[in-house]
Amino acid sequence: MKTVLIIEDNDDNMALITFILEKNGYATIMAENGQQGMTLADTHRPAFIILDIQLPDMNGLEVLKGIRNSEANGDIPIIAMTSYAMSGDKERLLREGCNGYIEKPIDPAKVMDQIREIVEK
Amino acid sequence: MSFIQDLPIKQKLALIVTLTSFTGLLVSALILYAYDKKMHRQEMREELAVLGEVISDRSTAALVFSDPDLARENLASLSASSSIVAACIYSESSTIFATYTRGQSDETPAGGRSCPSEPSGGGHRFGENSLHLFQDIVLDGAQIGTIYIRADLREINAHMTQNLLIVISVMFVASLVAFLFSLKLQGLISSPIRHLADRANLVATRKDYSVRAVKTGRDELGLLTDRFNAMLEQIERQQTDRDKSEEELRLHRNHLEGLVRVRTEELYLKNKELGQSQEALTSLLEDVNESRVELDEANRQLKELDDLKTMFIASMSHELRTPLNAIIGFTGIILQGMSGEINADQRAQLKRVYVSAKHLLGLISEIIDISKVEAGKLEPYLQTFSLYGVIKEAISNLKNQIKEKGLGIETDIPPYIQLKSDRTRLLQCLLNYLSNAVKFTDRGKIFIMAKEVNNMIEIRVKDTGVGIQDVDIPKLFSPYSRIDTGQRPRPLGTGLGLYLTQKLTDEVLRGSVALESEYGKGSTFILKVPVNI
Repeated sequence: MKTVLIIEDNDDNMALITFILEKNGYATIMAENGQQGMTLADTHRPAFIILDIQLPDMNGLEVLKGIRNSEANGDIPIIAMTSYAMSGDKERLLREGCNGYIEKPIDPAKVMDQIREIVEK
Repeated sequence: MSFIQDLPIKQKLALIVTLTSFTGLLVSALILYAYDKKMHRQEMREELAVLGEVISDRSTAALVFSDPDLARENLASLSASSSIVAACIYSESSTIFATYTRGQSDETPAGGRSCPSEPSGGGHRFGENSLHLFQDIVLDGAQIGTIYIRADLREINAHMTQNLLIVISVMFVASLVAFLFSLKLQGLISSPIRHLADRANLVATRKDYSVRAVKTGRDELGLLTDRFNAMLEQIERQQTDRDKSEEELRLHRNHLEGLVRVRTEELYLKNKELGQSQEALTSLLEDVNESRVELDEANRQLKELDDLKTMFIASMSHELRTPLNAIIGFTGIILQGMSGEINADQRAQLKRVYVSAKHLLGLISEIIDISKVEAGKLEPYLQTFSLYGVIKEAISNLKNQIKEKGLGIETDIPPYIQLKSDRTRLLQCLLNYLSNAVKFTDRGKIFIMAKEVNNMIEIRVKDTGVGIQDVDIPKLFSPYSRIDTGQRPRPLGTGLGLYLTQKLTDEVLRGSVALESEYGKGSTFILKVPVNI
């Protein structure tokens, strides 16, 4: 079973995305802040990471850079997830090494297709 | 001669005339005297020579016959001539043969003796008061004796002296007359000159250039007078001109002085006003300073408010959306049946929750965008992208709704156009136009057309929907204005979509929006954006 690391500070969103992923046969690891997320990424080496860009302790971009700079996890696919992106946010994320971008609110009917498309690309 | 030069002209003229007359007369008198004397002497000599000739002719016989008495008789005939004072005849041996002496007058200074003791050559000789003549007595070419005649010149000399005295007297009288005449006539020359001098003096002392000299004749003095008058006239004219200039200058100066006085007064008043203005300004400055303090305070408060607003927008963006995202997400899960089966009523009701939540989320997003545009906080994020791609993405985002309503969609887009613009915002505007077209079109099709004109991209979204009445067109791009199209159920909307689209197009994409519509037949929404911002 593939493991997914979800870095998300909001309980409701966390419950929503884990429910969908688990329904679709993934194991989930949850991190509620950036620091924890980076540590768990190192220790569990997930198949991919879903990263909320608006986190309480650090900016999602910093977490993204932190994970990408780690030698062990440099190649783990990372999917950014955020609501209300400004012009250029998406491009900046992709430039910093993010593999894909899903906008909130997620559509349960489409989200798995979006994830698969990004991860398999 | 200098004393003559110092004399007045009057005396000079008299002197010149007198001297000239006198000199002329003197020269004439001397010449006359000399001529008279010469003529008298020549007369005397000729007379004597004739007498000598006559006596010598008569005396040849006496000499030949040695008859002294006859000779004496001959000589005695000389008594007829009163001027002959002595005569004698010498023999061939130069001894006195006969003598004649007039009265006692032979005792004259002519020689003490009546005759010289012996003849001394031929010809005549003038003594002091006498004329001596020796003449040869010739007979048949041989000299037989000599005759001597002496004439007394005293009478002639006395006559000459008398003549001379008369001439000198006449000369003096004539000179005197000339002098008197010259005294009388010199005025002809000297008085015009004096007159000129007086006039000149008058001009010099009175500085009166209107004075004129009176012309007395057409001679050089008249000419001089004319010249003098002409000169005065010229001076007078210059003087008049100068006087005029001086008068003008004086007037000008007076005017200037007046002007200066007026200006000085004005300046004084201005200074006074300035002083007052300065006081006013100082108090105004104090007021301004106070106002500035108040303004600073107001600004500070305003900035606080602005910060608060920014915070509010940020929290709207995050705190309001996060729970809505959860509502939409979980509703979606249930509607998908991922949590188990639900009945038809539950599905219909949940669907309402889902749609309302999505509407609310859209409303919040639009409010945030409008706030940011109005605050000038939206800067275009520039990218180079395909026009075709962004329009296709907009259509793709709405393909479910288009499919649900059974509408057709057609496009005419050049596939090669690349834009340098803000792709996200352009997509947002296109989505707004397209979703409106879908919303307000119940049957028919939507046609999207794009072209490049003069470095501007014109995108037209044409529908076969309800159309818009002319009266409603101006309201369309205003915020919170919704038009009742008569469609039931009413299409969902925030009333902010077109307003936001216009704002984004104007201020972020640097373009413009336009609209063409025919009520009941459909509308065309137009978006014009530069190819390169």
